[in-house]
Amino acid sequence: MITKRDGRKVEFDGNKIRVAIAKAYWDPDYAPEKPYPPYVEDIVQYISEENEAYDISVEEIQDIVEEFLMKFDPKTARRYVRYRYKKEVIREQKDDFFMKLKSKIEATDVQNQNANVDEYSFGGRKGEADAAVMKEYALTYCMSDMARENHENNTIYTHDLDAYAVGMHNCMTIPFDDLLAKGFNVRQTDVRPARSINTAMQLVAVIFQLQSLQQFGGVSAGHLDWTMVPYVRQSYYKHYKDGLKYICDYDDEMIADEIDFPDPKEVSIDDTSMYSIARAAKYADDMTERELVQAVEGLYHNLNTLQSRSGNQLPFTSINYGTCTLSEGRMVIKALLQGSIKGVGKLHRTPIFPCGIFQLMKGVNRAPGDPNYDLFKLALESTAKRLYPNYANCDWSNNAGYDKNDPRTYFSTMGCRTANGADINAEPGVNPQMKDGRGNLCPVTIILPTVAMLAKEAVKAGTRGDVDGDSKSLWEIFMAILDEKIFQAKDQLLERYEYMCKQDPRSAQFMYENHVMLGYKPEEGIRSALRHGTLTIGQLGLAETLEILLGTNQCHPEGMEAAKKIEELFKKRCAEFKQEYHLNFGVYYTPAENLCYTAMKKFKKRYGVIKNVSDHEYFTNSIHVPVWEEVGVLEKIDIESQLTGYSNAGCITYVELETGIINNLEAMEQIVNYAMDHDIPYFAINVPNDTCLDCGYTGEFNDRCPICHSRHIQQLRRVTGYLTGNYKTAFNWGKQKETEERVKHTGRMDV
Amino acid sequence: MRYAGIIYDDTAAAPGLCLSFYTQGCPIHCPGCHNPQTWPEEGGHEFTVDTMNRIIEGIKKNDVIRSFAVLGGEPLSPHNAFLTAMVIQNVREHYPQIPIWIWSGYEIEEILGMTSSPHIKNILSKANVIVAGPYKEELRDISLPHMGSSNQKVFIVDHEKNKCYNKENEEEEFYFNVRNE
Repeated sequence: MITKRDGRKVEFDGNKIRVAIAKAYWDPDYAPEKPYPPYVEDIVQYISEENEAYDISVEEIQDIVEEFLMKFDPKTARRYVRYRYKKEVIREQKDDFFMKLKSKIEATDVQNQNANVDEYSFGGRKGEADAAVMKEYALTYCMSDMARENHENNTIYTHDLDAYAVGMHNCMTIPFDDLLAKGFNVRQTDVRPARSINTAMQLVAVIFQLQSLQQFGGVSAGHLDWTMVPYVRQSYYKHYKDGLKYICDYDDEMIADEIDFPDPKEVSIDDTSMYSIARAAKYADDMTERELVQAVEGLYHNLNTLQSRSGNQLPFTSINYGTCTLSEGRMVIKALLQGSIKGVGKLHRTPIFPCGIFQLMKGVNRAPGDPNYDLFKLALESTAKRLYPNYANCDWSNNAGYDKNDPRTYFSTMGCRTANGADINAEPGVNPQMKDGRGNLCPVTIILPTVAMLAKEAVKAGTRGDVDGDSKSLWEIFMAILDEKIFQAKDQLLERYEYMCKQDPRSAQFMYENHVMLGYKPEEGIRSALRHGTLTIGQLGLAETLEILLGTNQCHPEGMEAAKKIEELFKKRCAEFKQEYHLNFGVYYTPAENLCYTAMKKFKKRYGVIKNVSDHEYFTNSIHVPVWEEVGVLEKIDIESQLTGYSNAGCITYVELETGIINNLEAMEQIVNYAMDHDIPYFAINVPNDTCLDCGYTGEFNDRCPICHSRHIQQLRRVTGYLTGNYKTAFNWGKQKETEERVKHTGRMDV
Repeated sequence: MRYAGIIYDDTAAAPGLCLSFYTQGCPIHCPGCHNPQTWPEEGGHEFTVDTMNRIIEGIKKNDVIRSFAVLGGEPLSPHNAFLTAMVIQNVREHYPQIPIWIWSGYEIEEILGMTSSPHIKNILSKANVIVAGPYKEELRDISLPHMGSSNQKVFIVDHEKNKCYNKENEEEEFYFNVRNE
């Protein structure tokens, strides 16, 4: 018997040895007519005799074969050894791979790649193990050599690799107007259109949940205040009828006479010519408001409890609102903000989801006298207490061409920052700035510091730059390599796009059947829908890159000048690609929640610790001012606003304020207005949000509550555009360090 | 003349974005004081023309007009009153409209008892708000806006009527004389 590697015993089979040797021996290039090697039978004979004495192992057999070959046929021996080594590597890789799986399955190596995933839960462990397999599969079987090498060399990172092989896409602004008005189908049933504000709000949570399973990224509502107008009206209509019946003692006939309009969705709740009985109207006012407040509270609780994706994470939900000046819309905005301020659960904790986004628009809510200015002020209060809402700038220059009469074209984001720019494939009659039904398909991120190091190495080795006779500077070589990488990033995106287009619409039946994704025509395949999405080229570590190239960063004039040239190149190329391929290529300022840390780890391994470049645990995201830079709040906005205009597929600007800001909303308003006036598209304010889980006190404190001294606390910090749970347990190591190194942009003592 | 420091982008000392000027030297020495390094008169930095210019420019940095606050140290102590008066006078000349807040460890009665000093008079005629009262550790309340302990009071200065009144309780009012006899 033969002892196999795993300890099993099998019958000796001489043919296995014959084939193995033949494979090493046979070489068509070198001697196709060579006779069968005469020594093979001697080897088989020898081993079979040895085997009679004891149960020889596979390793021993291979050693014997190797020794024989060395003596009789060294050339074949070399090939045999090589072959044996290769098999061994594969075996080791397989072992490594299973060890990796083991660590995921047993949750022994929790890295918090995504702060929203509970990697300790059953679902989380299973999901992480699945992801490890899917990533390996994508790298091995789906991607081109170029894409794989760029990924492995820390040059161009392909995001969400685990979703690659099944061809999923990233994120989506859901067309709630249509879905609520028409109803929708799911596998087991269909759902009727909403006919009250309460139902509509609950369906929003359901739709968020359903759609989040069709994709790997976030889901958003682009203008929920406008979306909800008809449902507030329908609730009002019902309550008014009840008021007539139970307060005014009308019988059914009288009620029918009194309200003779055909469609309550079309009638304003302020229309006293329609709603003319004051007592019933007063009842309807109160009851509608009560229903709305209840509905919003339900929505917030649903979005913080309905786990998705095999039970290990909440859907990444975002809700944009703020511009609707109709009474009904204003009610919705107010309820959303008050619900956010009130908080969730017994202790009224800060809701992690939805990410609220207040859409600011000149003449609507920006200044005293604007119809929704009061709601802007309420939004500021909520931000100071709850970090949400963030602020989207509807007057942003890159959203030009939107239709003031169509809220579906107002600037909105999908939470973390992704945004839908002008659609080059807009159907006739559809405004290119349409947001509903569109989203980001997939991003890649160019790791700029690696590109800068490649340029540096090229200068040192003299391998580039003498193309036209004279030597090129580090900067010129960097720009040349970056340009190549941008082209490769484009090719990688096209490669993945084609892969996505090959998927069967049944893979995302809810999305296609209900036309959640814009433009789907069954006869043309899912390409007809996907072509409206964005393909984004992201970037990481501009600040560190400028340090490598120039010894400074974008906070200083020389660095800013260079930064603009880099961003200009991204913008120019993406605009060209958009025209050439008729696809929505865009510049993206990547969130890099996990990448900021893993890319740095790889970078350090290869290049060591370089001052101001790799002496932190993370790279600075995209074009951000590094978190440790001591710049004032307006200065920070000034610096980043010079670069945000180059991005049309999503970016965010943060400032760090002190918790005391709750007592100074005037200052916060000045800061938000300053950002809007400087054309910042998407603005978020970070205020430390520590909550005592015993007494409920919220403020900024270190390890214990200053009121009741409990150590049972939750420390919320923003991670990308979103919040997460306690940053000390939910963030990856790099992101934790980044959070701790954040300096405040107000209140710094100077001379 | 020495001062402790300047916060160019402050949100804690006056409504709106605010430039906060910290004087150096304090005779009161409240137990539990947040800034004990500002007690000795010889600490901090030398106040120069450049410092004054930085304040004037700083108030409108990035084209946003800030409020102005003087804190300390004790801005109204005999040692600091002259500097505080001079700085406020200068700021008021450049910015006739902005709110000017004074944060003092003296009680309002003590402050108004010092009006024989031309500097205190000058300050009272230019400042809009005086936060008055020592910090008392046992009355510490971190949730209060514009103060550290609950005994401290915010007084609005009414220049037309030459009085100041408690923002929370308008009946608590004090008249003073700022004319030079």
